[in-house]
Amino acid sequence: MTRQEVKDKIVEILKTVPTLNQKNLDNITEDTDLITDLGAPSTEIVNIIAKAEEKFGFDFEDDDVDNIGSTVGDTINLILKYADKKDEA
Amino acid sequence: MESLVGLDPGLVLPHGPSKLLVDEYLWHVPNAGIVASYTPKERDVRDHFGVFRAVDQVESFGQATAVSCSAFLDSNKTGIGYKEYYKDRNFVFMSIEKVLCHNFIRLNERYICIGIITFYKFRQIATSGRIYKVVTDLDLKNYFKSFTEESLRNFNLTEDFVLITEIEKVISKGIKIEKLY
Repeated sequence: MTRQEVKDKIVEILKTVPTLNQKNLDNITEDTDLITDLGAPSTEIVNIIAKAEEKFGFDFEDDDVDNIGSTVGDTINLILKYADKKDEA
Repeated sequence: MESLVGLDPGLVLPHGPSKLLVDEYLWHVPNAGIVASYTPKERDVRDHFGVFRAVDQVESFGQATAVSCSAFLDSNKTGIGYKEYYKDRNFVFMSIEKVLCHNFIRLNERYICIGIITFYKFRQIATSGRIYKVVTDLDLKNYFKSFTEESLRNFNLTEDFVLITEIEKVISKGIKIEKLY
């Protein structure tokens, strides 16, 4: 799974989150911040991560989610970390 | 430990004695919700006409439902006791969606918080529910022995209880203390 493939799937998830500023979803980069750029309430981050967990079929550890930042790149890194673990297994 | 019933809220919650607004856990199903009671003390109504403030009702509801349920779930999952748990972590009150106050609570008037868990994931919890004043000398411990998840969802209560406040979507999150400052 490439970073771009993960990013595309994350954008699909973000399009389903009504609290986000949907107009800004067309120009998403890895540096796009879910809170400051897309207007997500801080409580929404966990909901987005939960949706990503379901979409990608992983079970994220609480501690990994505790330490995650709020950019799209941070979410991509989390998913790729679990994809790598799956590949190693 | 199967539930919080019978445990001292002072041991489960991180709040100091003057800010603790839960007296007793009456009913608890870990993934469903909780019922807890509190009776406002002198210190709780001081400088406020003998009335327990609405903002303190919300705080009490947050402690009784979101924080208590979340602390129980995470403590059980990690296998760490509450005292040890609070050395590294605490809970933050993140948001509340709606509060409707129908009535008020005075000094020494007993009430219950009924909280339904609507979301729990990655140490973030959302609870909704109601606060009811207990208007008789009902034995609450005995009363809630026959309470069920269906009773919880439908707020099935007898006329011993009067609706005081409806609270929607209190969100709390357990975070590392180092992230608090």
